[in-house]
Amino acid sequence: MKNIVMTIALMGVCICLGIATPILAAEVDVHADVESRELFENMPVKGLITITHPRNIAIDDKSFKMEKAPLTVSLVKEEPMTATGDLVMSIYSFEIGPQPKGAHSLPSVSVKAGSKEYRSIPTTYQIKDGSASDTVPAQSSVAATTSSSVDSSVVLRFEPFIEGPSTLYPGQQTLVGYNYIFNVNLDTTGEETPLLEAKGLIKIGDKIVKEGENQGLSILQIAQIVQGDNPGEYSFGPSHLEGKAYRLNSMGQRVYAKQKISINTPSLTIKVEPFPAADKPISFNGALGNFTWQVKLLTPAIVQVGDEVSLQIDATGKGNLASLSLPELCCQPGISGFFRLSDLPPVGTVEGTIKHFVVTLRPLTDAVKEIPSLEFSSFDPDEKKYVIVRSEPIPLKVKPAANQPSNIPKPTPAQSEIPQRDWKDQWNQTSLIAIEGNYPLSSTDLQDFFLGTWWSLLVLPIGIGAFIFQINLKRQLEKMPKRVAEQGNVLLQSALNASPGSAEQYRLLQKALLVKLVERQELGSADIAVELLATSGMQGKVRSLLLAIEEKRFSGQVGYPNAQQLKEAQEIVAELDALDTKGGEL
Amino acid sequence: MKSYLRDPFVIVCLLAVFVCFINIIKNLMEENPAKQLQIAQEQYIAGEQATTAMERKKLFNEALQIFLQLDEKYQPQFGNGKLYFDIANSFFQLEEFPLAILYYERTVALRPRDDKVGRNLAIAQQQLKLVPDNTVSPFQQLFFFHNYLSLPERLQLFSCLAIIAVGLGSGFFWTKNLWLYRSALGMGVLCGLLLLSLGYTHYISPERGILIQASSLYRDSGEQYAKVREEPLIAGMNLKVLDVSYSGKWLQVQTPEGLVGYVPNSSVRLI
Repeated sequence: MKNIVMTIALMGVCICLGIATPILAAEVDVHADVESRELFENMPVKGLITITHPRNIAIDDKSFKMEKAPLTVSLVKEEPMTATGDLVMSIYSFEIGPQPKGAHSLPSVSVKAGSKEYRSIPTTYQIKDGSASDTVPAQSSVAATTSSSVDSSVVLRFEPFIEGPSTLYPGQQTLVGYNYIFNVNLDTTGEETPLLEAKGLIKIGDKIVKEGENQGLSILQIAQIVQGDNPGEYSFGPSHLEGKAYRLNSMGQRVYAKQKISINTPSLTIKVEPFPAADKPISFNGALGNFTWQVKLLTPAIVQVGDEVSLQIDATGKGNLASLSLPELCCQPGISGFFRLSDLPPVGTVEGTIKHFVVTLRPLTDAVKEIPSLEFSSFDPDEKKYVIVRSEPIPLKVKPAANQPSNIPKPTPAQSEIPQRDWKDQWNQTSLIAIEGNYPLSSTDLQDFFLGTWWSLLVLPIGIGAFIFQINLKRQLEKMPKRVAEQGNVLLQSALNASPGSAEQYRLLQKALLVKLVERQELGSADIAVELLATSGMQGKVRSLLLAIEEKRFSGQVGYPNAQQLKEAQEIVAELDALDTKGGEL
Repeated sequence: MKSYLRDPFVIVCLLAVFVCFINIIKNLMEENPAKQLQIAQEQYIAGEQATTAMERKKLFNEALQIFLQLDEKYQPQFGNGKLYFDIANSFFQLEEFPLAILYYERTVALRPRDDKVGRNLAIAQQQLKLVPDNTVSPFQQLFFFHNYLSLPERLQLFSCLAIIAVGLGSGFFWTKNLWLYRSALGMGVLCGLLLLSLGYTHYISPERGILIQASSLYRDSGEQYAKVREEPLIAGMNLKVLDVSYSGKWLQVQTPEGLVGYVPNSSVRLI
């Protein structure tokens, strides 16, 4: 089995090599063709011969023949096929004489390469009628009058067009654009195409570009769908195109015509007419076309008050379905006051030639007996008249809601009992419910109250922080060395001013002397009994004086401290003031 | 001087001043909405005077669009409520009564003493055959100021009283004046009451919402569950929101009749 597979594989390889070898062995390939497909009679026909050959095989330039006749060629270029390979492509140009119009055959071209002769396969080409004067169109002008033999057959047409009606109604569409018809390449130096900008109209979609050929001429069409919006006359133009025609020579280089081409076209006008006011139906909402409308009930025909009822409304007919919108249903007879419509307007979906809308509404009362006849209207631009269609009413049974509160007003009259007023009156009827009017607003009404947000609660921690700050501040102030000198002197002054010989005077005098001792750092604290004072120094003087006063007072004698003792106290204070402080005073 | 700058209270005060300064600059650089307000007011008035339904709807819609844009930009939830009142009126004129009721309720919360709002709210509720709930709880009777003043007003009053209390307390701290002490205490008591009221509003007071589209009341959070009652709840109903389901898509609510059930989150807008 293994041997059979191996044998089959080997045979396959041989077959492949057998097929490939002749192909690979074809070392030289010759191909001849005319240079351009745009050939006109009475013009020389230029051609190119492309020879693919190994680098080591030389081409004999003088061996070219066409139909056994020598053919004069000139080498255009020679370049390798690949960066590393051996194959080279040599291109030669040739020219044959002018030919009459019609189909022609380019015969086989033979050439010697190495020691062998190789031939090309014959091809065909078409010679056209190349008279330039036949291509001047009626609407545009071609200013390309050149004297060069290269430019004698330049054709360039620039034609604005309106495909469709040039008188529109709001919402109606038409196609506008430009046709470029040419047989040359054009280096555009200036172009004005106001029709494509369509100022004043609404542009629908992107530009539509089409290319084609007709009678040997290339046609480029750039178009735009536009839609009427506001009534008025819109003029577009003049349009303008200018540039220089050129051809590519055999070297691939551009050969420009000597003269510039400039084309101007007159303005085109599109008129947008307003919808006629006469006989305009109230239900008209700008729909364009001639449509038929069908209304179907999607939900059950028996519902309760407040239940959702869905209607499918289908529109079909001649007109732009994509932009078709549902007319207002809110104010149609039998809807207002009986049904509550959905908050969102139905958008509609297009399926083929039908546009579907789904409308949801809720009956507000059990007096509802039907989905009333709905009116749909549109304007037919072809007939120039309004088309009004009315749907058939759809029976609907509405049950009252359970647990209905007792203070609900009496149900509204049945739909059929409502007199058939002129719909215009009902449509034009404004709300009968009066409410309080708006507040005139200013920019301050858009701001929050100052300190009226939750951020204002920050007052609490800030207030607590303020208290803590004050406590700390007070402590710091208390720690600061006091001007106790003032305190002692103030107390002495108070004692001198007090009632002579009174207990208060004695008390103030005692305190003043003790405080003075403290401030002079003669004493640690003023809260000390007089007997505990030292018996020498300033303390001793104060002790002596105070004990003397005490002795007199507690012995029942009045008038102490007397003037002499007060004077002595002043002298002690003065002496203490005069003492050198030991850093205890501010 | 350096020691004062290190004090936390001083730092907080300086930061507060800086933030206020930045806010003032920001407000000055903002575009003045006066022109938009004027256009909206003109559109509304023109809508009131319109002679056809389509024109009326168009004008009110344009006015409403401007009002809603301003609401989205400025969000004056602690303001004077006038913008919400105008939005509610616009919805009313467009016969969007549930949304009108929603904004009237928001206005009532900010303008509790304004009868004009109450009247319009009653008219809107009447359009939907809703019975207004006028019951007053004992709490509301006792703490009458709680409903007499709007939340921003209570916050303002609290801030002012707190600042005054701090000032009086500081005065007493330095001077030991008894009258200052008594006044500070009085202010503190009032602040405490207001703080209680604010705390109640924030933590205890139930959320309320308006049903903006009719919905059935379900026994649990899902349409597969049975309904609490067959007929749906009418749009515009004022509901007490009790809870939010795990997924966040359903709300447990209580109707004015006392029924408890679940409605879709999308059907309710909080006041």
